[in-house]
This record gives sequence, structure tokens and C-alpha cells, in this order.
Amino acid sequence: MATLPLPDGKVMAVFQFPTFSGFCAEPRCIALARFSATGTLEQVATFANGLEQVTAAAVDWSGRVVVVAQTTAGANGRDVHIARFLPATLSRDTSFAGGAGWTNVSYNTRDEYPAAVAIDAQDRIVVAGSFSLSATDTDFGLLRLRSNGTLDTAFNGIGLRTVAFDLSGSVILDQANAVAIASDGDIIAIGNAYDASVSRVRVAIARLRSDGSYETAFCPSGCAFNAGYSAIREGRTIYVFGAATAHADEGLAIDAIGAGGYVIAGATYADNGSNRRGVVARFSDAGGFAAERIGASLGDNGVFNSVRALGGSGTRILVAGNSGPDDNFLLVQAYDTSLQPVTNYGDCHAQNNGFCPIFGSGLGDNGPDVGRSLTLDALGRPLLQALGVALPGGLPAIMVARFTNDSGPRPDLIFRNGFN
Amino acid sequence: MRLQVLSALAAILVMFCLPGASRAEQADASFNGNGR
Repeated sequence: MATLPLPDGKVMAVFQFPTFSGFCAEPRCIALARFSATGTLEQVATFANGLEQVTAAAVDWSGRVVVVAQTTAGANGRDVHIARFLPATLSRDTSFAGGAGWTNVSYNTRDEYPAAVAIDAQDRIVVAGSFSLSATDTDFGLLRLRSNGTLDTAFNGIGLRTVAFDLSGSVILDQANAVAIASDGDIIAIGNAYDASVSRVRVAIARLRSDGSYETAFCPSGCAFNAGYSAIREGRTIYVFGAATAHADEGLAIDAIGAGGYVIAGATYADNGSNRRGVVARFSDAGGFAAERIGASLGDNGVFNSVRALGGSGTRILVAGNSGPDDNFLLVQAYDTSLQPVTNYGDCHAQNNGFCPIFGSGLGDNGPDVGRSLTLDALGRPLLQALGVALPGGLPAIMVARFTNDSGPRPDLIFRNGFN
Repeated sequence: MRLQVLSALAAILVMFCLPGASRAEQADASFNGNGR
């Protein structure tokens, strides 16, 4: 689920562990695996807390590992679980949440689904996902914890808030998929918003000030390429990948650029309504459009699940996802400032320049992979985690990988945080 | 003629058998020997 760089150069893989005798007696457990800087597995631990899904992780400025999960259904529905661990011992951090090392947060008696986590400059923990308001109404759901694990009342008074897009009709399903901390401290979240009037999912972006209020300087008079949703502005916008046709998009990833601005990634059906392509786009802090690039794909089923910016001004943009034709084909691709593909990036075969499925032989690895876990270490080396099957009939396994960064810039400091 | 064939064969070998040979970035061999 996430491969995180630790301050001492070691690498922490955080993943969801299924029910497995001797390791996890619950539906899902949090699993941590620490590797040395040279890739030697040092220690593994699992933690049970009544969890249904383990969804996101990040390293804070003190080197502690924050993990976000969804609980199983209880009296208040499914809740948000936040836990913090000490990487040196793979133990719970007893300085978090009154000594427990973990806490559950509920917005209402319905379900909350946490999808992403980012750490701000004060080691506060920002979680984004969706909060259910009714069977046909979900909103972006955001919460912030102080570094000590308590809800931060400096964020919207209660530490939680929703952001509604509610594009049309009564089926108004909005969900955040990723979150990042902008260079000015704003919180930027990206996800999907369903428009029942056209039966399409749109890319929705929200930008909040650190106090949880809308950043009104974001799309103040409506941003470009908003498909006519001109009333969604002043802290929110809708963005359409590709031509403004009646197609669906997915907003799956976001990262901030140190010198200002942000990049997003996801998938678009802009081609013809049925072919899915990975896509990356770049904007100013105010939401102004800078560039967009729709990637090629194999089998018309590409997707970019994760995006990272390198260099203080984002002179290299990395995406990870699947090239298609299915999830077995992992893809990492690099783009320059203007989102032109970096030629000869990666080690895919020469005849497939522009696709870079990098593991195994041929065009991909041999497992059902997801590429949503791209992070960068202090040297700008991409760290990746994927789910794979080592051999036919074998047990599912995680794959932890690191690539070189000889030709690209170093990451800006802020990119240590904000992993989706 | 033979040189042309050999040249073409070499190009194919480079294309299919030596991925990464001219690549700017690759799997980081300093991580577990093979990057993964």
C-alpha cells in the first residue's frame, strides 16, 4: 500500500494484511516491514484493531509512521482509524492518542471512508476520504489531528468537515481520493463527484486554508475547463481531462510543488468514452491551468494512481499506475515541467518508449499490481509498492522497489510528506 | 549483405535483449541487488 522513506535512509513498507493464522485474526490488519537502506528485510510486525481496510500511510517530520484505516461497522458505522508507530521498533507510539498509539474518529452514525493522509509542517495529520450523509449522498470528508492524536479544533472548530460538490439530482456521491499540503499550508484534496444529470463522474478538487475554511483565492471566478460547473468555485472546482465531451474522469492523485502550484493524476475516458487513459495535469495555486498530458496505454485501459513532483519547481513529474491492458502491468513514467514525457526513462523495452512497466520480463510483472504508492526518498529515488503473485498459484506478496535518480532533480522538502 | 544482416540482428538484440542499456533511470541495484 505504501513504501515510505525513513529519515535514516531505511525503507518502511506499510501494507494491509489479510486474515492469516498466526499473523492476523481479524478481517484486516496493519502490517509494517522495515528494510535497511540496501534493501535487507529487518523486521516485520502486524497489528489488529478491528479494521476492514488499511488505506494510507505517511511518515511525519519526526520519522514516525502514520497509518490510516477504516474500522469494521460498529454503533457509529465504519469509522476512521489513525495509528502511529515507531519505525525503529515497529511498536505503537505511546505518545499518540493518550498512550494507546491509535484512535478512532467518527463524523456521524453513518460510514466514514478514509482514503488518503498527509502530514503538515507541524506534524498534524490530515485525513481525506468520504463521509456518508445518506444512502445517496456522500461528501469529501476531511479531518485533522494534532500531533498528539487529538482532533484539532483549529480546523473548522471541531477537527472535521465535509466539502460538498452535489452536482445534480439526489444521487450526489462525492469522494476524496488523495490529499496534499500546498507550499502555503493550504490543504488540497482531489477526488470524484458524480453528476446524475449526465451519468458521469467528474474530477473534483477542493482547496482549504489551514483553518479548514475555503481558500477563496482558488478558482475565484471559476476555473478553466470546469465543464460549465461555474458555480463550483472559490475553494472548489471541477476539472475535465481532455476535450469537454460527455466522458467520465477519475481524480486519483495530487502533489504540491514547492515553488507553488500542484499536479494531479488519474484516468480519463476522453478518447471515445470507453478507452481509459492515464492522465496528468498541472496548475497554479489559484487553480490556473498550466499543462496536461494524456498517456498512451496498452489495451485501452491505462490509469495513473499516484503522482510526485521533484525539484523545487517541479521540473520532473513522476506518475505510477497501470499501463493496461489490466492491473498486472505496472507503469512508472516521468514528465518534464511542461508534462512532456522524459525520453528513455525507465528500463522498459526500447520499442515501448513511453510505457515503462519495469518489473519482471517483457512488458510487466506477473502479479495483480496497483501503482498507487509512489514516494520519493531524500535523494529523489522513487520507492514503490505493488501487490503481486510471485508464482502461479502462489500466495499474494507485496513487492517493494526502488529506482535510481541519476538524471532527475532532488525532491523539495515538502515532498517527504503527503503520501496517498 | 552479411554485414547488414548482422547489423540488423545487433539492433534487434539491443532492442529486445538489453532493456535499460541506454536508459536514464533503472531499477536501483543498491537496493537488494536488483532494486526490489
